[in-house]
Amino acid sequence: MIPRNDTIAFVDALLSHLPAEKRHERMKPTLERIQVFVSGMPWWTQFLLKAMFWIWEYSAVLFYFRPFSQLSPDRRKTYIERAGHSRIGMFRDLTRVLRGLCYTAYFNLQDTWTDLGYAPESFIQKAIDERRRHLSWLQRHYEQDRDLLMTFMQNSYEVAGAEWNMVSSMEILNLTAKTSGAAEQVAL
Amino acid sequence: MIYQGSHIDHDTEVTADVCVIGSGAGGACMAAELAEAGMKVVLLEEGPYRYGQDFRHNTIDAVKTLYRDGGSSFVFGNAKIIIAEGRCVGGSTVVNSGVCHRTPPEILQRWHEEYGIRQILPDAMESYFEKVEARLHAAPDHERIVGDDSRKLRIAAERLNYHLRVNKRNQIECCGCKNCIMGCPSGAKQSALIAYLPRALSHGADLFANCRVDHLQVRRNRITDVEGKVKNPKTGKVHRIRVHSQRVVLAGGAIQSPLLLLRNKIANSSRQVGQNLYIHPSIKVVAVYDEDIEAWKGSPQSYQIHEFMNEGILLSVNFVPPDVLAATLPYVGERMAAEMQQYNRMVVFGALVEDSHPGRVRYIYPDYALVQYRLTRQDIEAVRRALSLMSQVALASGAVKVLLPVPGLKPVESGNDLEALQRARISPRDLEMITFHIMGTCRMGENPATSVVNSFGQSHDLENLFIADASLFPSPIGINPMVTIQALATRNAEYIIQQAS
Repeated sequence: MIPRNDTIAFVDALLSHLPAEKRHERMKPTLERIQVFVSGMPWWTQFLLKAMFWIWEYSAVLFYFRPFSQLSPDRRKTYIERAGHSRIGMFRDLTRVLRGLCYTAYFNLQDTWTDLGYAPESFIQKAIDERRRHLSWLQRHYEQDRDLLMTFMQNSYEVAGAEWNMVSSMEILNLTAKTSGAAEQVAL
Repeated sequence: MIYQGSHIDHDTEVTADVCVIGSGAGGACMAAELAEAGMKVVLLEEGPYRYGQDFRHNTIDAVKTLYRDGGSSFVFGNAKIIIAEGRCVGGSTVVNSGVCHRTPPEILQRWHEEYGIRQILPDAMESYFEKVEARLHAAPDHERIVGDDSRKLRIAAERLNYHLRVNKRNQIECCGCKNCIMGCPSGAKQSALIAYLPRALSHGADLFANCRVDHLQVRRNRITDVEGKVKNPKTGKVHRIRVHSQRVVLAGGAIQSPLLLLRNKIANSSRQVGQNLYIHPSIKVVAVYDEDIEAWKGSPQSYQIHEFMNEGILLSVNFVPPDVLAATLPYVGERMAAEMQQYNRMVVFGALVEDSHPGRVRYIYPDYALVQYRLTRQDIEAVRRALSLMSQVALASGAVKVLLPVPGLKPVESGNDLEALQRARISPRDLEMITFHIMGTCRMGENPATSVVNSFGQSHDLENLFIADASLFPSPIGINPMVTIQALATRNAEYIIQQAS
């Protein structure tokens, strides 16, 4: 699907707010993310998306006598904006799908996240580490339940990875009830 | 033992007491209960096996591996509604927010009175709800992990004097990393992957991941064999798996379960298979504040507003990553950039609307589902009401403006805008909607002419076929369905065990 002139032109128009250099820099990874995203979809959706880009490309001929990818950057952006508010419902749908696909890819880039101040990965790691520390704290207070607690932690962190070592959820539940109750006492 | 596609290098035949198709909320629960009762269980799951550190924070990668059709499934009808359905070992429980609600008593009462379902009244279900909640460790979130977005919802409910419900979630020491919809990387969420499957496996169950079931062999009103195919990613070859089983539990969800029955032309003497589809269409608005909220931190959906449940509207806040959010906002270029630049100040309010009219699932050759569903005028009015209520709640919580994901509708910044919103013309075509709860395509009931299975999920037509997912529901339930599915599965497993003994 990528790279095709119609897709590149569409993404270029959506990223028109970026300075030329930055836009050029983000174009390739955005197209790559579109490719990854679309490759997870069933064949008929992929076919439909290709067809939609094709229709989009040549629909511009009706208004500007040339394909979308051959329009000037300003006209491309205007065309997308107008199509999004068109009286023809199918045209609005077409705009919405293509715009949604391309923006999903663009806002999936790490660099874009950095621009937005969005840094979930470091936060998630920190949260998991804190949870681990919290469970260690519980462990220190409940040496008598050490074996059970270790099994619980193994279950919590490795999930179902070691299915042959799994304890039943009931054991986990019993342990958690004990640790929760005791944690409250310590807090008091 | 867990077998994945890469483990299968030849056609395989296995024998079991029970073959469970689907490993989500219902299938995993059923498998665990039956395996613990001493039955040999074989689970067949279409999706891949992922766990723990496999769950990373990236929407595109997550939807590609954990969601059906890479997140691109949608409903055919007068509105574009995306279907968010898990397709992995553990099913949708791996990618939901983990909200645990018991079925409302009035719904159970209605199922008993209108559909003649036995042993479904609140008193009869109490012990099953208790058992499921204990298994899931359903508990409210600790105050330290409640996200600022949930706090905003709480503030608004207090100011407006709306009924705020403190949600129980299936978690043990949740760390509040907000990655629930892409799989829990800490292992805190007690999804079916953790709460049920390990129990089933430790009692001798076998799980075949990456196995799509396509054929059910029937002889004399009984299913004798279940057949599926597995693609080995190393060799690229497709191998068949055949399970000779005494009983079959179908738990593929309310789209795939009827699809399999329709494809095999079985269990449909009532002609109700695939009918009575309910989806709880959901809509959202985006509230923008003049302070940083960072809604991507903290636990999701710690609270819900249940004030409007009698109108079929449930309000909450949802975490929506920037890539998904941008895809649904009706802006382009500088305007989009300007709005998205405020991402850390945004909170997404969501409303779940109880359907007024059912849709249906149809089978398309060779193996595709066509989901047909139309929003009625009543639904559209409910959606408009939900948009208005969410905007009101957002403003009451201190939002400076509320973006509406509908082309042509201006942001709401004041009470006057709210009034204008109530008068605005809304075309269902322009609504950005999504469904997480798909229900009711193989409904239960005691009348074989109007239902697919009996009160305990047993097919009226095939004596050894049971259904154990949300397709059992005779009507929408207006809340998150996970606990209802699992309570029914626990109860129906008991019925199977009694029958077997």
